[in-house]
Amino acid sequence: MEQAIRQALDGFFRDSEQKAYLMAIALTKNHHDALELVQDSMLKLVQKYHRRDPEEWGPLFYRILQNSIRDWFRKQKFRQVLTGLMPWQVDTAESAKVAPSAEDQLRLDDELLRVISALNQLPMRQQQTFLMRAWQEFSTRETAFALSISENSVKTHYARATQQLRRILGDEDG
Amino acid sequence: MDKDRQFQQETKNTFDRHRLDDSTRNALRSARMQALDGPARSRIPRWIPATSFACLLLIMVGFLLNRSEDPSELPQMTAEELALIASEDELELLEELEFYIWFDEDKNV
Repeated sequence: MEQAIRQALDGFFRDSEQKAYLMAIALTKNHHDALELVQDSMLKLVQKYHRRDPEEWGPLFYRILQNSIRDWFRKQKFRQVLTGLMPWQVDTAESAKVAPSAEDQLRLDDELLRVISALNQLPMRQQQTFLMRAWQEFSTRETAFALSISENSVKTHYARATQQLRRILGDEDG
Repeated sequence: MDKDRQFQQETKNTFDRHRLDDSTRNALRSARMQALDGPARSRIPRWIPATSFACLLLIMVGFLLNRSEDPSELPQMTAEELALIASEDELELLEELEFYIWFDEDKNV
């Protein structure tokens, strides 16, 4: 890889890595898996798209990350099914899923944990849409691309997620 | 600013205010360096994990069908969960094509 591209990618990752990690940990609630998901997404972007216009890296990176997170959930689900078939096995996936571990809680402040805990009560698509739209400030169009869903679905998920979160966090009118 | 927009802004601020601890920031820096330097090449061909997964899924379904005649004994899964497990997301070519269509349209807006 040429030095100029490497520097540009380094700058892009510096700007994106903390947000990407927080997004991954908000959805997976697992520090080590969140780090791994971010690293794998960086690696894929470097391997497949490093020659592309740097303007394209943002939407592509988040699309890769969201696909990886979806894949992570699929593997968790698969483990649960296997555990159902082999009840003598200890269900580590399930126990890791319930709540942020003590170690993870130390890494996030109370206010953020409160928001994440509310967020995790929503369906997966609503969580992803809310994070992309409200926090990353992606447009409806960019979010639709990153999540591989239609723009109308983004609008619906975003509105529902906002309403639900306001209710859970006690921010409703009246 | 309406109440929803205000709430969205406050939530964004909560995320923006959060500062990661040194250990996580170092881990991310190290992940970035490793990604930029390229991965250690795996000796396992890429098709092996996918094929193994498909075989395991088939064995599991076969086992399930033989194991129990009473459907209530099977692990309960929704249609969404089944789709999640069965889907294969390595549609990279499609991903690229979709991206260029989207990016082209976006530039023309």
